[in-house]
Amino acid sequence: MKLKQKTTILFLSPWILTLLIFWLFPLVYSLILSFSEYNVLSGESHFVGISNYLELLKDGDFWTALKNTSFFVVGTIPFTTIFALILAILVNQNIPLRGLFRAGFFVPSITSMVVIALIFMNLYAKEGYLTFLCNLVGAPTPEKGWLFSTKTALPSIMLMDVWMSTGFYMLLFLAALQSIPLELYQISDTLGANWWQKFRHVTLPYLRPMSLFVILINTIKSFQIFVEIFVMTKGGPLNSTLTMVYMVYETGLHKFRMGYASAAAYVLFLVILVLSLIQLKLFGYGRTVED
Amino acid sequence: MKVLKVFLISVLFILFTCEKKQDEFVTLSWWQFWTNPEVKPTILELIKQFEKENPNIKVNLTDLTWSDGHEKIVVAFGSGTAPDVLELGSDWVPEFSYQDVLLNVTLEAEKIKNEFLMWEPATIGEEIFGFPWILDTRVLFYNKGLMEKAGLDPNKPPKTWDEFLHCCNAINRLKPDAYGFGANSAERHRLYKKFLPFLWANEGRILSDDQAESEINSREGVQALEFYRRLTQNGMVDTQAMLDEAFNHNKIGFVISGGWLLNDLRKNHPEVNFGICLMPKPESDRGMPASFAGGEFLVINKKSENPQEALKLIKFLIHKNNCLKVCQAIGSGFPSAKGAEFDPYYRNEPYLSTFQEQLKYAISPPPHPKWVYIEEIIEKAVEEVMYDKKSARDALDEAKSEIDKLLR
Repeated sequence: MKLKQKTTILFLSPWILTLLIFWLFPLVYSLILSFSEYNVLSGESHFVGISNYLELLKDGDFWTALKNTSFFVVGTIPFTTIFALILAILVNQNIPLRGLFRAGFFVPSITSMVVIALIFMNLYAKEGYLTFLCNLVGAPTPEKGWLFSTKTALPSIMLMDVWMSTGFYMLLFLAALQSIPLELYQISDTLGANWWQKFRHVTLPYLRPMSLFVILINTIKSFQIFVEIFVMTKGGPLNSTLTMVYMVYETGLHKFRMGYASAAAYVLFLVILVLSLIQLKLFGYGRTVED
Repeated sequence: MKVLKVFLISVLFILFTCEKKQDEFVTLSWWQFWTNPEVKPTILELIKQFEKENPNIKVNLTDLTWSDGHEKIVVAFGSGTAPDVLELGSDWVPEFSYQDVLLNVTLEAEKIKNEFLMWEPATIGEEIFGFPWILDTRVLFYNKGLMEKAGLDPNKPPKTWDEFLHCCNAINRLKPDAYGFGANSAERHRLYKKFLPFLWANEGRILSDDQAESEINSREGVQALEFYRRLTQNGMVDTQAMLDEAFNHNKIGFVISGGWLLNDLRKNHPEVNFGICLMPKPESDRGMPASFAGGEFLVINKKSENPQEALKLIKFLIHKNNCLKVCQAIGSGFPSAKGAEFDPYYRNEPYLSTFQEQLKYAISPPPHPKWVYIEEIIEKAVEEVMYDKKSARDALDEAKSEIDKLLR
């Protein structure tokens, strides 16, 4: 091996080792665990084949969790993406206090999740501001407070999530917008294109790779929703906010059934994998703007 | 002569080092939850004193928080990095005991059993897995100002369920300014602690004596759950933290809470005119004012290399005087040592005497290896009734059949 190669490997080793030990190993190990009954405390483990997966199919909580998580994903991603795009286009204009707006929209995504959850718990309380606002305009409010009614609990958390994550995706879109060559807009102007034509034929095609990235990571992140649930509702009321990762957490760390929890986690992994592949296909990954 | 001198010195040296070896230096690790600035200095002071009395032992303290302490402990046991001594909440002691990670301390505990209270959560069958340290329970907090506003006598807190419901209903009519009862939302691992006292008060039980079947759907159980449903309908639903906060701001008339709320009220909300009383009884001549037995326990890791030293530390900490110092710093809670309640400190504390009285009726759930599942079933039943999905009878019948399935 050449000295240069050795140096390269040496310098890469901290990252590679971390990847192997803390990422790849747990990934493979949990796959093995999903085929066994493993008690994390006693350390007892024995192979049970696919019985964990079969049990999942019959587990009502699992289906509830899968349904809630899917609802969460489908209900948040379109809004987050569209709001992020609109905000990005707005703060990309020459408006006064542009820096302040950009920073302001981004702040929620770097604020501690727990802090945000606590703030929203106050907003959503029975006597909180949301109820107050609804009363002002005469809109109906849930009887038990927004987070404690089976119908409004999950949508309330989804609304918070949209508010929280929009800023981050706005920043990504903003970066993509700024990479569009200005000449293209100038040419469009000389050709007499209106704003919609410019948006449709210049902006959108250039945003496609970033849109794919945004939707992809947002899908992955949304399927893994946990902290919000842990802090705000613990899966209740009546399992209306029970999500996949929260179910995995309860099963593994409270019922000590790591094998069963791993099986549930692997089902989640497969769901995310398949959806990601579909998204890549739909967005035509690898195509360039000119295609 | 010189040879003899050298010989003597070397013999002395060997003897000296041997002596030293017997009295080897030991480092004990202890994980505990008292992180707030009022209590932590007392804990540190006690450790210093312990190290002074036992110069061969050094104590390494690690702080945990209630929000993620449970996970950290589980992971530590799973990975073999758990400390020698741990503080556990009363509901966790049976949970970890059944998982066979705690040292069986039956022999040592038997010796001092008569001098301390509340061994139940740490006792499984005939065996004991931990030492009670600080006892705590929940009492009923009531807002005197709101009672007066609702036309009730603020000096006569409810003693029976009927009176309780009447008071909650009267205050609830003040809404949206105030609500009657502060009902816990469906918080896992907490909701059952709020419902079970009513079941116990009504002389109902979760399991039969031989733990072969569930008795939760008895007439007493159904009555208790039906009463709980009516209570929650005369109030607001929220998490414990938000309920405590609402009580701090004169928003709810009644809340079942613990010493932490008492401290918060006295320290940060002197304007709130409140009182505390025993949990109400089903009827004046029937049942009892039952509450949930909380508290802190000290346990030893089964794999500890220094069980003797760990035991020494625990015995030091649960000693009446030492524990009293911690309780004084906390502002609530009682030493597990019998007779501590006669200390002048408690005689001059009007609120704490109520807690002390309530402790006599503090009950803990029956230890069972599948408790975490039983707990889940009970919480589901309570939720279904709170949200009018099922009648108390139907919900508990189903809970019984599910628990029976587990017990088989």
